[in-house]
Amino acid sequence: MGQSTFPIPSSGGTSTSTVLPVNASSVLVDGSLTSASSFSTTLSSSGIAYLQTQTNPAKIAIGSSTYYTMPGVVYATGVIGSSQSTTISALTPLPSPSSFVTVDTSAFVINTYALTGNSSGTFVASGLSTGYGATNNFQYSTNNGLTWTTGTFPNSNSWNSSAHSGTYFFIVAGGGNTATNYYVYSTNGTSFGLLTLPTSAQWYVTAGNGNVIFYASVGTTTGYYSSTTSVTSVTFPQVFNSIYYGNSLFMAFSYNSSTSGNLTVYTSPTGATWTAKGVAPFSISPNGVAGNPYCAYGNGVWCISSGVTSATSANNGTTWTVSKSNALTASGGGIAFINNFFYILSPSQFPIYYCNDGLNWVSTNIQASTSSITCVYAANNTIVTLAYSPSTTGGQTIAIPSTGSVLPVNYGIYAGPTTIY
Amino acid sequence: MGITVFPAAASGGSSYSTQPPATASSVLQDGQLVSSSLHASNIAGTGAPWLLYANGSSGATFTIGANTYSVPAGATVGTNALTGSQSVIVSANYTNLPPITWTAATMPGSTLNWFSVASGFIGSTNYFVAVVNGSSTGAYSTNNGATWTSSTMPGSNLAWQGVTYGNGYFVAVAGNGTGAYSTDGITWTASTMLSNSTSWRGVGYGNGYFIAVNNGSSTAAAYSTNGSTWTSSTLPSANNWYSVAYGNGIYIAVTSVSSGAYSTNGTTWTAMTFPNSNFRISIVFGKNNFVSLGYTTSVSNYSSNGIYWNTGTLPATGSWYSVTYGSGMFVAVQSAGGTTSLYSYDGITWTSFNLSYGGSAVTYGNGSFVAVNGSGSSNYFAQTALTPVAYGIYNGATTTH
Repeated sequence: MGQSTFPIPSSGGTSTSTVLPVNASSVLVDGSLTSASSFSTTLSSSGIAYLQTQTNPAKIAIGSSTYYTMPGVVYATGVIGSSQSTTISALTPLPSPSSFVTVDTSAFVINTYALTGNSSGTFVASGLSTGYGATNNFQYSTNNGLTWTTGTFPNSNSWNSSAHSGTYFFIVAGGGNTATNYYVYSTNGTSFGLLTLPTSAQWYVTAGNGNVIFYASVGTTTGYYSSTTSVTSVTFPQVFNSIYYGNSLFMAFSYNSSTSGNLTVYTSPTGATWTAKGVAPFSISPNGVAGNPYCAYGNGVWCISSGVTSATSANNGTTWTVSKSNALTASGGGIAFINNFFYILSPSQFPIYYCNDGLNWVSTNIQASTSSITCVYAANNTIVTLAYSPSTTGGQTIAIPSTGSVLPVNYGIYAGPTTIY
Repeated sequence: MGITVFPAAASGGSSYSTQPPATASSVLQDGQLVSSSLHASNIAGTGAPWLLYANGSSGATFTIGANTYSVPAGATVGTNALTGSQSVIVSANYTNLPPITWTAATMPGSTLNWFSVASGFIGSTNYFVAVVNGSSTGAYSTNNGATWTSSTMPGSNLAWQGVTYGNGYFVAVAGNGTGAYSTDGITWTASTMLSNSTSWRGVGYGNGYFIAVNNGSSTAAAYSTNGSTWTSSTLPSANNWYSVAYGNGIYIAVTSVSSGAYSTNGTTWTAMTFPNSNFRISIVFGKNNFVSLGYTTSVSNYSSNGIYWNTGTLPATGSWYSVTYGSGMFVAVQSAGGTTSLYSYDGITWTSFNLSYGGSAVTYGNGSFVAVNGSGSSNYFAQTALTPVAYGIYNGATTTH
């Protein structure tokens, strides 16, 4: 009697919450992580449980399922069986405002359309010349975007889409209004070899786990996939508007012809064969380009954002959960997942948003100084952002902490209604 | 042990939640859908609005009497004031995967002209009911259209052309000027349709009324609360009327010309005009829009109010005979063996798919789309229930002013 909502300690046996979430029937366990970064116990239940943390976000693993919680939000689990190993863990810290470093990009000789990076902290930016024409220049950084060097491609073109497969950097030409068949590849991001695709189009590229896919977001269902530097033709089930990689899968979003209907979702492990999934709750304009809707995979869910709303799928696109209206107070300019958290950066100097569930966003006090972010890429515990015209409007890099934990985490796990059908 | 902030219901026992939403006065019922996708029961209301809560893999759909409430996961939704015993069905939501690959099912009889199909709950069991144009053989399915059992319609081989469900009744009308109703989906009782038409073609339900329309080039319509006793009404023009739907507080009837009709009470009708002069056989309401497809055209129409209409373009020209809505999508089928069928998530943008034998009629119920056709067979496409779901139904505040 008279206990606080999330009392201390967690294992004392008398630390039962006094205020349960709506519809909960009893307390299974609750407590607070104050000095330890995690607490493990065994739970038994016959149905849904509710999870809630306060003060700071956490990860709660129950059996083989893992849930990520944002403070103050009630989450429902799947069915919990008997004797489930359960661990509540604090998460790594968020970046501080001082870690968002504005870098000198005044020497950029390109306007950026594409940005990618690898796990060693090498980032490559490509696009058009500062005069909006074809160029054989690109910019690269080998220190997480802090300093940049001008490189030279073996071909002058509009290098509008890039990706890293885990093995190769790939940058493809043909964005804008020009159809070409050139692409370049590199193992180090500093020197590139030239290759050609069998057909010309306004190509985009995505990659992951050693595989690469080339697709055109308008006009054709013909694409190419590869795990090497030679490609194989594939006919997509629809024209793919954008493709992303995560969870050992490529996820494609497609709208039908020139309509504004919601996006049909397809997945493929390599790009060779595609499986129809569900329908994402967002639509995009017929002129949408790769990267829209912004998408990232992390903490067991695919997260997409469109405007001031986000949505997640925990089953690789079959079903989607939409965030509350205006979950973001400003349209996001790019979404990235790194070290437990999704980040959304607005293109217009609004604060960065973060969350670990892809739905319940919190505004940080970190704000970009770049007023027109067009490229966002996360790699090597770093998020790099570049403006459309870095030589005049700059870029930033932000280091994301990979160690440590944020305490306290006050937590409660509650049994749902006891009548099971 | 924890403190129970709100007193448990008098009959609560141990199965009730200890924490209703703020402003709730008591727990009426709660539980979890784990192995079952729905739970049906009767709950007594005391005159206060109820609060409905759901959480889990998805939200839940609460059907209370003739009203349906969609409750997103983690949300609480209020009802209107409820008094007396209410039929309550709590259903898990379903996936909304594109209905690409359907499964064929065998209908009773020998190659009958299955002409209309409807779906509704009798107790906790969802029934699909199908009727034949020109036979006293009917059919019902209790497993989402996978297998069918024959039933017997009244009369001798009447032209049963329309069947619908509402508020516990299946109601069918026939082109021979008669009708029938069933409270179990199996046994039918003949009703005496009004003599103002001998060509009843379509029947729809909404807001407590069944509405019947004729395709005998007349103004005849009728309305009924139970499918047994009918009252005549008059449509604004003598035409071939085919279908009626209800949504957003208005009934809409469609016909073979560019005009249609609307009614706010189901009894008096006013003419309205579509933007294009197409033959419309079917109309449905879903996602805040009425949707109707032009027969033998590639033109669709949609409208949120049923009076002012927008025009859309379909990916194919077809003999669009039936359109339905469920599980977050519209599905349209065409008659005469036209196998190109359509689905849409908004009623505006459509995608084609192939359906063997097409369909004279298509409907949705309990996670499954079912299409019947004139070649003696049917097809169904079942979505997957999004369980587990926990739910709670709570009595609202007891002090009313």
